[in-house]
Amino acid sequence: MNKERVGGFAFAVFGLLVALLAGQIRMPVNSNEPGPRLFPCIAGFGMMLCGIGMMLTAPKEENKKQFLTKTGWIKLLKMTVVLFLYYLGLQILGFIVSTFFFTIAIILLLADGKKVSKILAIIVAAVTTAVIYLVFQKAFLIQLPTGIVF
Amino acid sequence: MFFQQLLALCNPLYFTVIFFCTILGIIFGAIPGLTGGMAVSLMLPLTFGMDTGLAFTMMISTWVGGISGGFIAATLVGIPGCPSSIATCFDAYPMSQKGDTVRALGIGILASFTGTFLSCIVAVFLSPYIADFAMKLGPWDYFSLCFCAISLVAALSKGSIFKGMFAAFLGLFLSTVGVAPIDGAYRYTFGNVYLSGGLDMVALMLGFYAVEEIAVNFAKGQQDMPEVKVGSISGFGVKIADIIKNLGIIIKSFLIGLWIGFLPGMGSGLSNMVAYAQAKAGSKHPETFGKGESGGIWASETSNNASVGGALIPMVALGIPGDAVTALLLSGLMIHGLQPGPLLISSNPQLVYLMFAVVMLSAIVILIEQFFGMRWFPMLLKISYHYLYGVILVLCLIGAFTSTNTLFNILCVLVFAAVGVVLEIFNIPSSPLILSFILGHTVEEYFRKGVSYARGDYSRFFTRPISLIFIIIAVICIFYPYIKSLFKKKEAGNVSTN
Repeated sequence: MNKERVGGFAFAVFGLLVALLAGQIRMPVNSNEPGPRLFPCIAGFGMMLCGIGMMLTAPKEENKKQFLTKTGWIKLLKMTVVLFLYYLGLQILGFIVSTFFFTIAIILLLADGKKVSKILAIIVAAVTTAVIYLVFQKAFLIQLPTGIVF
Repeated sequence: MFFQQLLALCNPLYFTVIFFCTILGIIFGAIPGLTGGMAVSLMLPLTFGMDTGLAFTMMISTWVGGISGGFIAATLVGIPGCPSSIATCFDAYPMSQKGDTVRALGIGILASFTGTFLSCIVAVFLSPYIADFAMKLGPWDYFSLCFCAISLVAALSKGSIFKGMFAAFLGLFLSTVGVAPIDGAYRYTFGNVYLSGGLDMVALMLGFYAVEEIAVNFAKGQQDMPEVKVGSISGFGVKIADIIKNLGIIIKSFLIGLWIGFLPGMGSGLSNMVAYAQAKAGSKHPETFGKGESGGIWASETSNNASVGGALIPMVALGIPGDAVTALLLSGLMIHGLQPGPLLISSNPQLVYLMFAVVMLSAIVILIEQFFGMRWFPMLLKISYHYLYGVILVLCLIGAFTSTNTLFNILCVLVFAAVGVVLEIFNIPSSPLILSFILGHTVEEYFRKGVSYARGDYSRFFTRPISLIFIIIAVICIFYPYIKSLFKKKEAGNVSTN
């Protein structure tokens, strides 16, 4: 299957969905102007037409160059999991604990097998957490996530 | 007013901020994978609680530093620090390899200064006139102007027109999420209270420009930097004869950079390539380009920095961003309770002239910093990526949190980063999406107001001359690739029959 055609088809379906959902927007009684549905419809049908355009104009010979190798996809997946765990960690454990552990985890992940000083990683994580906490929470008085456990 | 603001910047606090933010910008600009725009997007959440003038001083000096620092990696390792320095690699790296590293860096420093400084002078003089002109525009003309800007960006983006237009429509769709202008109807909120205020600009920018970029670079294994091999760096290396010899290229590149920066959505990333191509085409010895020709470095670096002033003009005078960073600055204006548009100069002249003064002073500070700090440039490229990127990712996510004070915004960053990956897989450009996301609300409001003022008459968009001109330009931009290919086919047909 041609990647461009599949992408174009998916984008066209997404555009159609956006346009169909626009039909559910409440319309005020005002005959003088087009109302809140017009622009969502334009966006939806526009995406649909562009998706169809991409399908029709997709090159016959597919570009052999891969976006990512299998290892690359695995690395991207690992990164996504770590980022998502940080999001959950902020909700459950709060800023201080989750940021400290996330920073260490992301440094080790980004090192990608290279030798990393664990002590330096811990120091960087502690300093990052402390500086952000002091700047946002103490200087700018912005309440950082406290979590539900602590 | 401008000189008053320039003097105001001599205040120790502002001067210190400019000094450190320009260094931060240079570091972000110098390191491949990081950009000045990314630094500004990280900085935006930090500025919410600050005085507006100080906030913009921080963001603008970082931006100018970022553009000016791009040539460092291009010269020392042949990898552009940011997209605005791609063409710099072509000649600066070969010149450096020949042992002329100091000269290549010196040209980069001087060209960056020339472009930024002169373009800012033009912006100071031109912006009030353009704003005066824009004040005369009605909602019909303003709608057409924004429509023209979005079409221009979508049509001139890399790749197929359908991809550019798709990105523009996707940005328009994202801008419609939340409460609609005029009537306050809820759209695509699905009962989620966090969506009722619309999607956050900071989350979108951090997702697309920082998290996605870092994640994909990591997945592609592009975070490793080649070893920097340069001899000792001392002196400045640029002679006056060098400047005189390349004066024509400097002037031409400056004008190209200024114009491309002025066009919505097209900033320094494009101007350096166009200016380089022009310099090469206009040279008596084009064969020397790509082999360490000084004209190539002058062209690329003067033009990308000239785009700074060029991009500021539509942002200040029309409320339309010239590039991605001015889009961030525009959202910064809104966050600080200011309304971008032609009234900005008359309602907030201090802030507008302060912005220009910051650009000018930053250019001078960067010139001095780079001149005296040249010997430390190689050290910038030796910073361990895993530590730097790790800290940046934390800052991105916490920055998104502080933007709306909700964890939902962090989720938005992750979703936008995922959308960015999908767009990159299909080579869909992100700049039309960003521009249409920013202008989407304004475009809709002006369109609906225009129709409402004309009592339901849509023809007003075509009967007002200025509006009609913008619509014609937009239509030509969209259909130009087809018209061009049609002419080419016709020409080819004529040649074969002859």
